[in-house]
Amino acid sequence: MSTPSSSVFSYRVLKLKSSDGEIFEVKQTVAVQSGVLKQMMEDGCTEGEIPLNNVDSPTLAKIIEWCNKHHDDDVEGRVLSQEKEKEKEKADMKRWESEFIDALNRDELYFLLIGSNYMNIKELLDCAAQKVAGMVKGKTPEAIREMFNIQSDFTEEEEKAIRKENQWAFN
Amino acid sequence: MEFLRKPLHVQSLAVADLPPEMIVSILSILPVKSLCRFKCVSKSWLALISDSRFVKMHLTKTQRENLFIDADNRSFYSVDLESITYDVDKVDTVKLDFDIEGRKWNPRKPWISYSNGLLCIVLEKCFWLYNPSTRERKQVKFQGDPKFCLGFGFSYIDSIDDYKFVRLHHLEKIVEIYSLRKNSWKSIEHN
Repeated sequence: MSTPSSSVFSYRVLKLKSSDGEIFEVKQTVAVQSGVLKQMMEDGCTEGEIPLNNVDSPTLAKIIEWCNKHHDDDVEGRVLSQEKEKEKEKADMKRWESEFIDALNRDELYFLLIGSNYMNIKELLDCAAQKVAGMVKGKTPEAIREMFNIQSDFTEEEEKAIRKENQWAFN
Repeated sequence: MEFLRKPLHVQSLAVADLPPEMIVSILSILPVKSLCRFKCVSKSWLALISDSRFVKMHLTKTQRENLFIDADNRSFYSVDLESITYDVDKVDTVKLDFDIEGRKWNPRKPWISYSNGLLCIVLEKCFWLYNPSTRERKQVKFQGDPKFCLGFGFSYIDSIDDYKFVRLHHLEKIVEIYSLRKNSWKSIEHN
């Protein structure tokens, strides 16, 4: 007996293998949020285990949690009768996203950045990048040098001149 | 499931370990104030932050819909319209750091216009271009007699990556066009 291919497609799962060898099963409809996995599905090469060499298991678990949430609450995809309801769902999702990101420690955050970049999950990447930007934006140039491990190659006069030109940014 | 969260082979990471393109992308969403401060981090950061491709990338990613208000004879305000959409309790209204000394304002002809990051403020004998983000400003003098001016227009044109200011002449069939890229005026007849 034949089944409509679309439903077969939506219930199929991908087996993702993290860099430390753990297998995660993910529905195709969820995995499609990753540009890399989407491309693999379109090319029909998702048989067997898919190795993700840049993503360890804690990070992959986080990434899948994000994707599941965004799949379940696909606000754009559903027809909501009321604008207000839509707005509320969007606001709820924003709150969930910031709680999700805020709960990470620094290492987790950086691994998540690398992982979401590698798997090409744009929304998650943007959200994590935004978090790092928030950590960076109030810092002094000295703190930035320390954080990014940079040695200043300006002479004292050169640095003075640039500071003078951008004095407003230091207030 | 908590035991799964224990990293198996994790060494500690720092921002500096992120791929360079990711660092660029994080910098490109920072407020301009931070970027201006970070210009003195190092020569390569200065070069990056001043690079025109980076500036464009930054503008595309961070531009919010702002409304600019010419409040009285001296000051301008920007109202962040997107903050109104998302969070009605908080509206960002900022008084711009832009004062024109000895500004003679004709209340019948107030004219400001905003396009792609630049604010244009028209005065009697000149107009100002002001970048509210970087606080850079530039004065451009009008040619000829401003009395004969019918009206103005100011806009960014994406296809040629240029800002143009247009002045329509009252008596002659002329439009005067200023190009920011070329920093020059051109007069053209119109029908």
